[in-house]
Amino acid sequence: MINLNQELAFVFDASRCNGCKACSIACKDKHDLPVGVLWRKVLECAAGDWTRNPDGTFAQTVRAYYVSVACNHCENAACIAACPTGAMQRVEHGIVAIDPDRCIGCGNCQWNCPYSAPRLDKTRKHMTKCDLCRDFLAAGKEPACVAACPSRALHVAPRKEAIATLGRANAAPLPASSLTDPNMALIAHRDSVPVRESAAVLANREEF
Amino acid sequence: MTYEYPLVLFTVFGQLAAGVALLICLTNLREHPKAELRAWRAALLLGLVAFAAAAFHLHSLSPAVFSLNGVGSSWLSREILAGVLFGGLMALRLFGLVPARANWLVGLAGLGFVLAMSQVYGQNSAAPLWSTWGSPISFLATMLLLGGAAVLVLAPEARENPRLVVSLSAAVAGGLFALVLPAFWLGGMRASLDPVLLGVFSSAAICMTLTQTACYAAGGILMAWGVQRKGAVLPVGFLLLLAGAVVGRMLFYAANIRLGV
Repeated sequence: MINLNQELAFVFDASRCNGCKACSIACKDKHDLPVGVLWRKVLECAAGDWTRNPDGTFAQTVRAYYVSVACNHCENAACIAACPTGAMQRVEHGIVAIDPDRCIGCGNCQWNCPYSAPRLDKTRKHMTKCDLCRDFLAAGKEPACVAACPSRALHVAPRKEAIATLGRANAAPLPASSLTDPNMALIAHRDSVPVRESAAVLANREEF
Repeated sequence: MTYEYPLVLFTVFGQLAAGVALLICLTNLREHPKAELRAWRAALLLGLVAFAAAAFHLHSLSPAVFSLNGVGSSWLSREILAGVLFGGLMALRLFGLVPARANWLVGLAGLGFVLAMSQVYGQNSAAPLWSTWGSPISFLATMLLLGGAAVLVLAPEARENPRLVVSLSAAVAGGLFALVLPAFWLGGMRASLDPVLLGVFSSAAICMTLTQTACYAAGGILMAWGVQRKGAVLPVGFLLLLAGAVVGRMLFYAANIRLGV
């Protein structure tokens, strides 16, 4: 049972994730998202190369890992600051949520979010994004993505403890955490590469 | 790459309207009341075109009544506020409710509108190619280029010194500064951006900047010819400059290559 009397953060353990994308599909199913709209993405990271040794043999440093990411309900949320109508708001548990009755669908929140979390839903005619399954939380349940993870790689946890213990997610392929102070703690994969190599390691950009 | 056509039209026509307003003020066009009236009518019409284009970018118009709620933090909200003020002042001036001696106020409102517009992109830290000084410089330059050229077309009776010098100087300076934008992108490219997207964008940037430069050069030559000979090529030259500005702005929107995912 999640303690609802505090702000929450996602905690993602990259060493446990096998890239099955159950979290992404569970989210899409729960929120009935149309084709082309994903609130949770599973980023595939690939890095390394093959090199030829002087004796003619080959050595390789090829490695891969996954990072599951949705809206991180950032401490310094660029989307809230950029929204002209006040549709993007911080609500209970530190959740950043969209008021659909106030959203004009200008897309400025998506342009300013380094995680590209807000997505335009053309059928609903407004921006949409992860709201940490507010209805599930109110009913004392875990968000759909967390409940669906077979490897137990994804959790929600009290924000202060999670961030104090693990720090904010700051590894490739994510942007530097200093941009928005994301409320996502990351247990990095052993092969994680630094943020400065973020663009080079993302192998499945075309999925988004 | 996406070009955001409604926003291309909104920004170019908005800057054109602001440029006309500023040049009416700088050239002291009130000494030619008929030309001034013609210029204000054109500026207001261009502003309305920009407003209509912006509406096409939105997906839900009814909540637009809340657009000023974010004025404390959102540059988009400030841009809308500045646009409303500028448009309102233009309308008041056109209908004679603001005296001609207050033309400078309308010109300043237009300048503020373009500056606020540029900050929507200049303050976006997730888009390194936008968050450079190139964004405000290119927006202001486009305003001067198109404003200077438009006043030359709209006010033939005011093509005498020193008005001619002011309009031509604004247009030439604006044209030159508008073309320096890609230089600012070189700094932004040091950020961790997708190399494939950057490669595609760089190729497009070369082609489109050359096209923009060719339009400006041809438009500038035709306008210089038209000013000297008072020929009908002046509007053609202006349209070429406008086409160059549109191509340049399409490239600007294609530069929306963001950090992260």
